[in-house]
Amino acid sequence: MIHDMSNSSDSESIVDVQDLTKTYGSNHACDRINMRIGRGMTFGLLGPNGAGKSTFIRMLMGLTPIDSGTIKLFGHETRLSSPEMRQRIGYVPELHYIYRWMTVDGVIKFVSQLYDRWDSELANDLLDRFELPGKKKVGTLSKGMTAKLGLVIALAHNPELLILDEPASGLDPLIREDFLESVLQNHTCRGRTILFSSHHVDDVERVSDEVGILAHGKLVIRGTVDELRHRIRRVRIVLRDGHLPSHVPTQVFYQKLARREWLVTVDSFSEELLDELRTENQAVSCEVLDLNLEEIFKDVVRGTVGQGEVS
Amino acid sequence: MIKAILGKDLALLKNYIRATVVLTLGCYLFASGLAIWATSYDENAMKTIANRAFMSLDGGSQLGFIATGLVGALLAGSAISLERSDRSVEFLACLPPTRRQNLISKAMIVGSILLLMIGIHVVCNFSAQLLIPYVPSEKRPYVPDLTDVTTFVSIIVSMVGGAWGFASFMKSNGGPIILGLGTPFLVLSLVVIIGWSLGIKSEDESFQVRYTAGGFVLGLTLGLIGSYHYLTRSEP
Repeated sequence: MIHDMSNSSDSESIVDVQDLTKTYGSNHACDRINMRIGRGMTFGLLGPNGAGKSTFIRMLMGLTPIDSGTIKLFGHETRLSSPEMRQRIGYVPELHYIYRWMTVDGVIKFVSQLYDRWDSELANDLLDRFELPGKKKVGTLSKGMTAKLGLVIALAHNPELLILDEPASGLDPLIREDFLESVLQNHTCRGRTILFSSHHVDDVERVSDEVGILAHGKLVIRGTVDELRHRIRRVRIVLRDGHLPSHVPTQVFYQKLARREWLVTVDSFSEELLDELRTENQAVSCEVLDLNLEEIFKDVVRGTVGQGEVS
Repeated sequence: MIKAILGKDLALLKNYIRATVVLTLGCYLFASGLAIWATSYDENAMKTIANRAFMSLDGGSQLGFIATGLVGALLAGSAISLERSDRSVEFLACLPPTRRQNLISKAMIVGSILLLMIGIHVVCNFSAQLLIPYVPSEKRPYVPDLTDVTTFVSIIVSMVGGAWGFASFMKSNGGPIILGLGTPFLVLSLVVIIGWSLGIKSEDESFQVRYTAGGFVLGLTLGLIGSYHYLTRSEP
């Protein structure tokens, strides 16, 4: 259906995943995922709930064993990430399980002793910026504050790779904004690599150089936002009265038919494809519509569920 | 790095360690109180300092051995499972320390506390035995010998090993502590069943030796199985 999963990059690969697979019973949480993220790139991983984003990230982090495939981080193959790898990775999970009985200062003191490259100045700057109360216990912090503490821990050791797994999930828009702003300021400007997973399309669009859409365990599409907007189009075709679509090209990954109006979303759009749609189906008119990332995301996900809708 | 993990684990078990200190002191204070009370109305030489010291040290150490088993199960069960019960083990898993380092830190804390407690009780028990010549023979209570002390230690090992082993499979500390405390009974059942199947009577003189050996074997086996599972399990 949709292609170009590996999208080779000229730059050095920080994350290189080949045929990564994980199944739980008959459910494919990750199904032969191929992904390469070059140094300095911010990669946004979009996907609906249950698409396999967290499983994928947990496998990268070595928290979940993989069934098959390979993971290379910083050019080294790894099944369970080593302590050396973890020194180079900052990870912000969706749910934070930082020691609730520790104070904020206690947590910072504890983790600072574990990292070789801990930057106390940066940690203090971030703590001040986030107005995190040092004497308060983690268990008494709000969800937003805990997420910010998680971000401080992930950023202050200057990781080469920052992995954010739905980091702003459940946060109110103001805190989410503040959170993303901090990620952008503290990391992208330092030229480090980020893997950012979310189902908030606007967040991903804002921070990412490149986007991948994961649905039902498969990485179904990837590219820059501009590339995707250029490649993926929606075509509105009005069919002759009494006619149904008779030819569906392979590039069509989502379609919706409502009376005479047939909407198709296609990958690798071209004028030739438009002609094919027009001539092979009894079309009265054809109109090409641009899609924003959110519409692309929705159609890709819907396309992997059922192949379309008829009403 | 291990220093940081040790500090964290000590803080994690802070309340249990405090309870250990209180319980240990409590054993000797209770035994002393009991010794003073029991001898205060005695007409003969039972009121001597040596006699009371003997009773305090001997009684305190015997109570102390029981307390060490309880505390050991409490500490071992909690050290392994507390982080799983609040899922902070998932936070820990993303940090640089290896599972082995985490396990070593926990083992060092539990092991040193238990060794310290056992050491205190052995020294007190030995001191009590030095006082035996000064205790009137007709009132002299039963004094545990080396075999008894070894049996006490074996019970402690089975309790600690049981709690440690079960804790790595469980997500709260209640279950492992109870199972750890129940392990000596499991040892007893196994020794009786195996003895019966081999035609050895329970009242046989070697029963205590077999029970002691069984406690060490089962405790260490459960501890090793638990440690292996802790090192290889996936979180959560």
